[in-house]
Amino acid sequence: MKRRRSPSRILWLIVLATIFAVALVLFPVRMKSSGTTATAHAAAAPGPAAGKAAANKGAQGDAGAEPEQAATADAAVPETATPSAAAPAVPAATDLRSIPLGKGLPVLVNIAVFFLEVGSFDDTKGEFECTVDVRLQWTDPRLAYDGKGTLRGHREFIGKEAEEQLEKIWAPNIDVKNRIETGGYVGRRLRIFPDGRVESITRTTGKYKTTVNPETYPFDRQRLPIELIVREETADDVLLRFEKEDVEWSRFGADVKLDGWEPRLVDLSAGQVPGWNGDRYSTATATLFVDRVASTSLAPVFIPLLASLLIPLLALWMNSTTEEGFKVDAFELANMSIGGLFSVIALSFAIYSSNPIIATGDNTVTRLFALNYAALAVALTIVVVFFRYQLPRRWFGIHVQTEAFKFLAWATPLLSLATSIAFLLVAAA
Amino acid sequence: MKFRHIAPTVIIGTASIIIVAITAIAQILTARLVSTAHEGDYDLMRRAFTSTLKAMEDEAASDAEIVASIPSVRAALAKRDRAALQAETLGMFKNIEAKYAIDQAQFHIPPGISFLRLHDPGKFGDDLTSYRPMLAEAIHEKGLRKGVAITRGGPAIFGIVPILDDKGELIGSFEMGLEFGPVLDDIKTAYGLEGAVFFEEKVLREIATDIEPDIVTPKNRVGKYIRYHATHPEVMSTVVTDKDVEITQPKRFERMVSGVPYGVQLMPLYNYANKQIGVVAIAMSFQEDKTLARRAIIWQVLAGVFGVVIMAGAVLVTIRGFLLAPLAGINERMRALAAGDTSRPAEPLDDYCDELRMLATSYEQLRTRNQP
Repeated sequence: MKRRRSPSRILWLIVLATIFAVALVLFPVRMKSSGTTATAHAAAAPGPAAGKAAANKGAQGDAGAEPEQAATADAAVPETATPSAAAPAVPAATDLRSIPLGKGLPVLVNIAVFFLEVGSFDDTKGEFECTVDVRLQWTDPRLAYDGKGTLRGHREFIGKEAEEQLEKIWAPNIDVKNRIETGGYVGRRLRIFPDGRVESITRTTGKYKTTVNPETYPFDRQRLPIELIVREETADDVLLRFEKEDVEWSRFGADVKLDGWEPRLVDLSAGQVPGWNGDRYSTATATLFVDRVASTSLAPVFIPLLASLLIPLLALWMNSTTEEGFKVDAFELANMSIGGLFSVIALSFAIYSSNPIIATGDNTVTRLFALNYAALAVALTIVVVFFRYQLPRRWFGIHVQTEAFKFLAWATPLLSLATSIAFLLVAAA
Repeated sequence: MKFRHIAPTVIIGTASIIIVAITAIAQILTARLVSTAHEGDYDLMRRAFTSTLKAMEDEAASDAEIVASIPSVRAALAKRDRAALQAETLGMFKNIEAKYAIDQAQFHIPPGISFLRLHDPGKFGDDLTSYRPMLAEAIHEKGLRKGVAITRGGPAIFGIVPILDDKGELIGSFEMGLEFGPVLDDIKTAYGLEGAVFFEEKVLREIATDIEPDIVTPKNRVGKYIRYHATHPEVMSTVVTDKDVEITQPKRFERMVSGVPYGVQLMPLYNYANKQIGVVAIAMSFQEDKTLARRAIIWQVLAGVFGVVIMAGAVLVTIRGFLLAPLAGINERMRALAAGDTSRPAEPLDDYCDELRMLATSYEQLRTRNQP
């Protein structure tokens, strides 16, 4: 008997057949693509992973990886990795100029700075000249050797020899960020210890840039920094740091003398700065703090400034009251105040041109100039209101004017003096 | 008694006292504000040290647990196969010791005998229980212990884990000791605080026989302690002196270094058995706070001076200008009039206040009436 198929049954069969067909078509594609991905991962992973593996604490493959072991482990990488991806991270056993991976990444570079001489510090330009010894220490296990033959317990290279050796081995590429000029002579000393520790000391004389903050002039403390930064290698590869011994080594020489400044402490700090695509670069700063000798700016700056404060006061002290009003004409005293104004302007030009750094911002000198101008404004106001138009007399009578003038004659200098002392004390605080 | 002198003196004096009192109260409030801020700073110093130390203890314990859980390590220790254990772990130790500030790593066997020192493989077999209560307890209790201790290799932060075989029987223990210096270095990096740690010289000489010789030296001697590590030796040697370091309780004080005021927090450092083995000093620069406080005081005093002077001016001008000087003029004229002198007329009435204007008018009427 022939079975008759219903339309709904046929429709179901068609739907199922379609799903099956689509599944047959898609399944191999998905399998193929997942297989491709897996292969790609396998090919790409060993490149960077080989480098990072050494950095991982407890990583068993590279634990204690000596040069031979590291090279062996790395040599296996190209079998699965594409040559272009793996090549930069795989050092040849003999290529000592590549970054040392024997102790993993990042390579820790200890930094210390000794300020041998400070030649000058031009706070107006924000520049200082000094000779510094920069000591770098790192470990490159590939350089380890049997130290029995060495007399001093290490190999030492000085001057040109050191430079030649440094050409042959890996050394961190460290730049001085704030150096604007380098002297001709660069002294180098390189020590390589049997366990692979490398110590490089570089002596350079140069001119460096710094930011001067004159807010508390002339009682200010300024920073003379040597700002070091690792170029090319990110903080994942090379990290600057310092330890107790580096802090102890970082100081200034006993003979360091700087005219008008007193050296205080040397401080070390380390940090990182952002680069492209989320990279970070390791930095370290050695800062010599110097205090300004305040007495050096007393005669050229503060005595003229305080003396010029007397000019507006003279306009008050030169006059006296009578039954009719005042003895001296307003005109003469106004002339004196205007003369004072010009003298303060001239003084500001003189001081600001010789100390441009204090011309900007808020500091003791700009505050004292502001006080000078304010005192002149007060003096001119008194001249006009009291001496010229005698407004207090018109409004309140002769007795009030007389008493008010007597009050101003002692209150104005007193407040002027108190304010100027306060400015100096605030700076010294 | 002259009103001319008494009245201004009383008014100006009272006003001055009030202004001075207000200024003083403002200064006290400022000082309290700074003091409160410094309380927070001292608290921060304590918490920074405590939390960093705890983090390091946890790190030491976790490092120790990882090593102790490696099957081949457990097997070698169970067999008391020192060579196999060394081969298994020495490379790992050499690789991480410098990079992660690992100071010591050691396997022990019950009841506390050194089996393998990874930092000094040549020395083993000595009984550590006499001066390592933490180790003795870890083995006895078969539990993880962590804390600060002084060993032959010097002071360190330890995590000790017992190692059990498959049946759960104790076969030994493993400890990982982290250097103490990074605790303070981390605090400096994170919080900008300077720090130093001092350990008793006598204990160091007795126990830490393998310590680096340049540590226990006269240069590092501070009272009965040795400055074991300092983030800035120059600063810390000035802020903590022989007398300061002799503490049994936390102590704090302020001290100047090169013109910079430092707030110093001293804390006793205890070992696992709660015996004081040293002192930790954390120092923070108070320069910014102090400077701001001093500046606030100067501005407050200046504002007070302005207040007193302006108040004095207002009182003098009002009392003398409006009242006493015109009154003195009328008095003088009245005296002359009483003596028969009628030649001096009163001043213009505009020069007088309303209250005196009546008197001046009366004087003028008297004078006019008595004129010949």
